[in-house]
Amino acid sequence: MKIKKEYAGRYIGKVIRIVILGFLAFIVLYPFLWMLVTSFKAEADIVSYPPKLFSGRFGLDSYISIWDRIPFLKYYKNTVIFSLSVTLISLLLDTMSGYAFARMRFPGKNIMFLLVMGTMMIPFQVIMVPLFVEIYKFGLINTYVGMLLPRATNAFGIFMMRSFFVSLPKGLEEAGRIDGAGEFRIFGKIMVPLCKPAIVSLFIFHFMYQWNDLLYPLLMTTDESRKTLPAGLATFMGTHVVEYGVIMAGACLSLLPILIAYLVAQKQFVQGIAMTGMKG
Amino acid sequence: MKKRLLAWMLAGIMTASALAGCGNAKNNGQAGDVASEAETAEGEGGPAEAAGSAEGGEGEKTVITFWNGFTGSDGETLEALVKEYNETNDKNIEVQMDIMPWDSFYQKLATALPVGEGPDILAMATERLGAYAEPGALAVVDDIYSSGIVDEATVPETLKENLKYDGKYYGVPMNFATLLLYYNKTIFEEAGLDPEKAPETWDELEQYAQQIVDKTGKYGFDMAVKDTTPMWCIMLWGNGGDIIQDGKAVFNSPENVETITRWAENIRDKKFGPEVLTGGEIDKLFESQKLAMYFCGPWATNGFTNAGIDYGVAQAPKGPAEQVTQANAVGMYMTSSSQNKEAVYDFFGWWNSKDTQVKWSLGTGFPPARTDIADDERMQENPYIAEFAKPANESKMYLQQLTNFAEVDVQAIVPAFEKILLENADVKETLDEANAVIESLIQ
Amino acid sequence: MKTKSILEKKRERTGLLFVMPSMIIFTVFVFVPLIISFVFSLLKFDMMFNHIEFQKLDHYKKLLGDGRFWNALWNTVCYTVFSVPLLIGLALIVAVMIRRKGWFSGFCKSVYFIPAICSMTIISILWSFLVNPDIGVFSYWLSLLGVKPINVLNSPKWAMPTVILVGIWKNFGFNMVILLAGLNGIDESYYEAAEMDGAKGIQKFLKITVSMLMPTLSFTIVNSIIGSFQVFDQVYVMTKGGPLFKTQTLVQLIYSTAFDSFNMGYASTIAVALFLITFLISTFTFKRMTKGEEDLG
Repeated sequence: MKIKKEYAGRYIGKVIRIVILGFLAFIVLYPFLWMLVTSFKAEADIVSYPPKLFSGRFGLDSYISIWDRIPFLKYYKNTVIFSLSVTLISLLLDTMSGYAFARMRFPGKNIMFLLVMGTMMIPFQVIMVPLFVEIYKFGLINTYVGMLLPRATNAFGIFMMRSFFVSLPKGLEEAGRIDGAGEFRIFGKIMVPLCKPAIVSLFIFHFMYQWNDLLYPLLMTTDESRKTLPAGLATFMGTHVVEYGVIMAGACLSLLPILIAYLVAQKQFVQGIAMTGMKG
Repeated sequence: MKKRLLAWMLAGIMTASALAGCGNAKNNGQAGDVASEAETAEGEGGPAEAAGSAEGGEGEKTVITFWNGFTGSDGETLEALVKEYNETNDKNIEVQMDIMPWDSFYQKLATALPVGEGPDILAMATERLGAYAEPGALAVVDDIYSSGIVDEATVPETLKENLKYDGKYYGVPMNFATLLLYYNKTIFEEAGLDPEKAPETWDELEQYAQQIVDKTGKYGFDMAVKDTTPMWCIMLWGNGGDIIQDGKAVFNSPENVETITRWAENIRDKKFGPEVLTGGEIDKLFESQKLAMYFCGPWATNGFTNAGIDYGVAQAPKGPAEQVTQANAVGMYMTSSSQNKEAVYDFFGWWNSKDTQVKWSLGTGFPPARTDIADDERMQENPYIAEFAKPANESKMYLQQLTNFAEVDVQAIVPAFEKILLENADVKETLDEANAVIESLIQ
Repeated sequence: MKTKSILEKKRERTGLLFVMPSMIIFTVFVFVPLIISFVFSLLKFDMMFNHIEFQKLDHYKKLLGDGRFWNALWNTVCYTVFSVPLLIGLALIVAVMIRRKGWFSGFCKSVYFIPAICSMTIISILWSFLVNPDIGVFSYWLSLLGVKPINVLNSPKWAMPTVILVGIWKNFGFNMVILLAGLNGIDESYYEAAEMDGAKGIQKFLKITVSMLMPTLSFTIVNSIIGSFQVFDQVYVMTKGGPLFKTQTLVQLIYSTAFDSFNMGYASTIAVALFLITFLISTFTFKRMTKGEEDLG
């Protein structure tokens, strides 16, 4: 009797759980479904009322329009170069700093860490004008270096890597030191290989952030040939005429690469975050 | 140990400089790049006579940069025209254009202009001129008119004054458009109205709108408040009111109180339409055939025609005081940091030539920014253009000649309409309040 | 007061060397601009950086009496107060529900994270489209339920809740993944022990979970607070701060002061204020986070 009741309770709990999670999944996916379907619709069907998901003709007009109107591949290439190089450099520096903050002793460590965390609290809009002037004074306007340097390290990344290194067992370096390895060798040969999953997670975080960023890359170059994809797609949000079909097609196109990257690396990604534990 | 760190750092620097190098390399190859991509970007509006490409002459190429916010379909026409200019001009000038959304455009200007990293040419609405001319970001171009590169006599009267600041010319016309009343003929028929007869006076407009609301349950007439050319000022002017006159705020004049009370009641209480709309929203409302009448510029014609809407355009209904409509214009300006005056002038002159204006006009639906080609034969292709060109000299422009146009618009005028329409606030009080804000902003 | 061995000194130097590249970059590209921003806040100058006038603390005095600033601060605080608990609460509950392995959990986990990899701009446009009273499917559904569709983004009452909900929709997956990672780090034995003590029901379960999860939780909370104080993109795209400044947040005010009014000096003043406020609020929590943690050598 009791067991039966418990079993029934569990069963109901399971159903409730599935219903709630399923409903949430629906709430999340449904807008994206609209985004995808809208990108294949003609503008006249998009604005028809009552709104129906599948109605009217479907075609590739919006995608063709994007292809015709912007040098899509060039923007894609620029975005990949920008996002990838920022991500890679930042991964290196973040890992180094995170390691030092977690496992080394040096003067000013706590204050420095506090300063690093403090940078998370500064909205980009606050420093953007002085930053631009600075890059200009360095003569780095319109160079990749000028675009990369300010983004070459990142507080969130440092924080994440530090959390990861904190969670590693204490004796690791000691073992290395006994073998006579120097600090750099310990870092490169022992620590870095251990943090692969964390690096994958951080890679995804950084990459999606850079990939989506509109304002920063747009601002830091005054040269049209360096334009990135978000900036290119922003040109479809017309001043006078809003073309939802084209905007949604652009959104789908820009989402695709990171979605694929995420789905491919998903397992490692979640595991990586788990390993850092994000403990303070 | 240190060596290793050095090696790490060096590796980093090398990666960085390798990337920079790759950037430079691309820079060199850029001219070819852009050209080939422009080819793929070519639409059907492309110039047929431009086939004879002037690519070969790699002598002293003058490159001038041109920033603007012509996103959307206007940008396509613009790009095709600039490409044509690059291929056909005999001075070996290349215009490199960067189109971005207007808000990004203004942000970039705010960072790039002070350090002299701005473009040679920028295009923006004439109401923004003061903000940039006053601190000296733009160059005076009086001599382009005196030397006849651009013919002053062909510039629409309303526009002329607003290309000037402090009595000096800072810009040449880029485009010029008036707002007309768009009306949906299908809805007119549904409501039992004559689809070939648009309302001619305010009274008729009210009567038609009421009939549409009653008979069809659709929206009769509406005006957008935000993120667009402010349609309400057509009504203010029609009743003899204004916003700023001779450097003083007159937003709370009795005429305005009367006008706004009347139309706010129509829209809010008689449900002529939704209360506060943005420019984009009202366009979509008309496009989805839920709204029968509204004011809009020529840019919407192509989209509505493509969407298969049966619509007409008519002059703005006559107000109690006068028949007037709103005009808005984009000017092209040369920055004070530009080193390429000759090339810039050449481009300005070319842009304002008859040929270019006809092509621009046909491509975008805008009436030409010159007064002497409205009846050019080629213009017959688009029947709406003539209609939009008609009121060129009987139109007014909104909030010109200010150094802080955007502030006045965003801080005073938009909130006043929002308060009245959304919160049913007292019209007189609200306008008094807004008037004080305007007054404090413009002195 | 023991003297450091040579080896130790050497290690200290290495530690410094490790953090040096990051610190240099932060100094040059964040701190220096921030200081310049602070200097700006004491000055008045035009768009071309000419006609510079020293203002002393006038901008700060103006700030205290500026209704727009207080309005923006109030809106920002409202946004934070409503969005952070909802966001973290939802993320936590979902994380707990999704914890068990299985294809369905895995599927949901992947799905929930998708909004997090999108740009806020795209999401804002998408949602503006979906809630549009004339063509949007959500307002159509409401109309089927008998609710007269209103333009939520244009309603002084509903604009802010809409902005908040969109923010939660985008961010809960991100927080959920992090919390999930934290949950997986909790040893099963705690639950077993609790069960043996006769702990039952969701409440007790949550209690253990929450207390064990505290470090991760406080990270997500602080991170969300900081994010809320900087909320800009969705407000900018969906409402531009309107209607009637009801959704104008601090960053949006900074933005419009700098780029609509060309008052870089005053914009910097608001920015400094925003920085101080955020700093105070988050330092408090940061302190709690770092407390009790061993300093590894």
